[in-house]
Amino acid sequence: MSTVMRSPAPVRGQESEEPLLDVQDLTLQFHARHGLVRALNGVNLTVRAGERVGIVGESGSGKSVTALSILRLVRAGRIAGEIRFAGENLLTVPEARMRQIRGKEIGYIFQDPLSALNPVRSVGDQISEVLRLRGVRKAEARRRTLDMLQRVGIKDAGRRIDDYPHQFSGGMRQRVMIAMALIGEPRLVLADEPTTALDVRVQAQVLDLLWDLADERDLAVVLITHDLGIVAGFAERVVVMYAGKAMEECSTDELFRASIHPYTLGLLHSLPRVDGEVPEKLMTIGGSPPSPSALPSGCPFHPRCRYALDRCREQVPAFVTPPNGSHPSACHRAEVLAQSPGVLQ
Amino acid sequence: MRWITRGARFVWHHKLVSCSMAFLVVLAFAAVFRDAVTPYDPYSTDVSLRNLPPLSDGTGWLPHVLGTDPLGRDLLSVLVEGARVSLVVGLLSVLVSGTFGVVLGLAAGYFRGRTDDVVMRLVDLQMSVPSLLIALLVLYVLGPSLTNVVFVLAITRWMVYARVTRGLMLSMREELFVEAARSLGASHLRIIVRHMIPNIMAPIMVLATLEMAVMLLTEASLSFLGLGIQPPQSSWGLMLAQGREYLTTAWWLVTFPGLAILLTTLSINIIATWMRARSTESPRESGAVVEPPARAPLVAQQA
Repeated sequence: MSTVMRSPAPVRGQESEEPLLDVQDLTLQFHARHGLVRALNGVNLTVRAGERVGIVGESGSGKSVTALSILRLVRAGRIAGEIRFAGENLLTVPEARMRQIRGKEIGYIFQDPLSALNPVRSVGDQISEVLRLRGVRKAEARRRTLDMLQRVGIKDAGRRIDDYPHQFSGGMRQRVMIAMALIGEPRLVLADEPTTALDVRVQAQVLDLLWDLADERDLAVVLITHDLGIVAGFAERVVVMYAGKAMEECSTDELFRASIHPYTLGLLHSLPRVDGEVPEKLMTIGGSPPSPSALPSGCPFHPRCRYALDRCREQVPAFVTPPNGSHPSACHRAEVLAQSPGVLQ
Repeated sequence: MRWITRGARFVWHHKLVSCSMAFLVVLAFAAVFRDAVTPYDPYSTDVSLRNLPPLSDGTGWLPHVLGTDPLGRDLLSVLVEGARVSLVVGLLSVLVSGTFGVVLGLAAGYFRGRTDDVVMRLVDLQMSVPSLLIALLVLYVLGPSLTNVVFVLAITRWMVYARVTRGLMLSMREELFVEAARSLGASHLRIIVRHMIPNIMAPIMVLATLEMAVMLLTEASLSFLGLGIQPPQSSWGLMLAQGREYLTTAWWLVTFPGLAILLTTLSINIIATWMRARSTESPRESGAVVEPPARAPLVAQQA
């Protein structure tokens, strides 16, 4: 927890400029043997150029699937909604254009670098692939790969460029992954739990590196994590997801001080506080997250929600900003909660 | 100096494998440089020299080490000439059937769906007919010749490669690095060629080596049955067939070609076994061939 000891930069002005990535009401369903699986049920996410956005949620809440859907890497299922990237609707562009966007416009960092790297090809070969795919000459690609490896902090890069993935440590491998995602100079990087497999000290190094690289290249980053501490240190804005649905979207500051969604408030109260007294027993949210093949009616959170009304059982709440609130929340009682934001009653 | 000690250590630890390799190297050398091995022309006949026993004196710098055949040809020369034919047929048919089978297996395992169904049903169909029967039938229709033998061997064995390749691809396509390659914008062809094939090459090579032995044996049987290589060309199977009548009077006529077939296939099998053991040492390259159910659940087909 709290691995990155830097306070988030102030939120950029919310001017009229069009966001770099704008995901609206994204849904993803597919048929399995046990029936219809609703993996995503309305994801809203906007990312402006150069912005760092966090997606938080429990395992199975659809964070990774959201990121994979943005690059159209989900093989099964029906995707609906809208994904606009720099003015293009990614759900309708042809596959050939999509291949150009992957790697060149949007980079992807996988959670487990060991299985995301090909075991029988050298790391230099794999990093330079993005360039080679786009017609960069071999020598030039190798030179730029070398620069990139040095930039991500691989010591003795000239010698290590021809090494294979199994010859690197976990942290170094993740640096290689980052190099691979960034060598095409994308404008947006989707980082899917990039530090989950690493120990805390290395986590901090990798996040610092990602931060620095994003800063110097004006790169937008979507960081997917289940760790609120990482979000606190890294992201400017946060989307909270539950059961494949965006629940709340706000600045990181608001997330911790002025949340207006019962789920977020429940999450925050289940964290032990560093500055408070040590509680006898940590508070938890009762129950467990629903299975995507058997979602409850209405708001997916209502069976576990202490604010639930009859209405919550019947009607799916819209993702809107309540009149007295500062940011959108998918909750029928957002207006009530917005009267005293950040307080769990 | 270092590689000499390393080589010596290898020979010490893998005596059988080293012997097999040495045998195959000598055989290949003899087949390529036939004239350096024997001074006799394998095609010149002389009935006066008919069925001489091994080590009989000859006109060249070497005696008839393995004796002579019913047409008075030096048996060693004929044997080496037969090695040429047998090895060429074996290598070519492995190459042709391997390429054909691997390509079909790659397509079936990568694209699944209808491609998969069609290829695998073809495989099942071919598996259900005895391959020797197909071979005899095709050779009877086309007429025996070296190219036809290669063709027939290829069409009777391609499905072995198709099955194994498909099985490997099915597990390979679920690997995260394939997803990662897609996230970098690689096309289907590039993913298959650059990312997947290098990972399945080790088990395919083992299989091809084993198949080489099968091809040698099948070629020998076909030639023995008279539908393979035709005189005056010679192959080991043909030599066996021709020597069979003289089994009681000239034992060397069948013994040496038989030994040649035995030692060659044995060497190849020993090397293949060693290769398999070596490739499973690094677990990520293991050649475990698992046949998953024909239709994996949940994975729908992308257009």
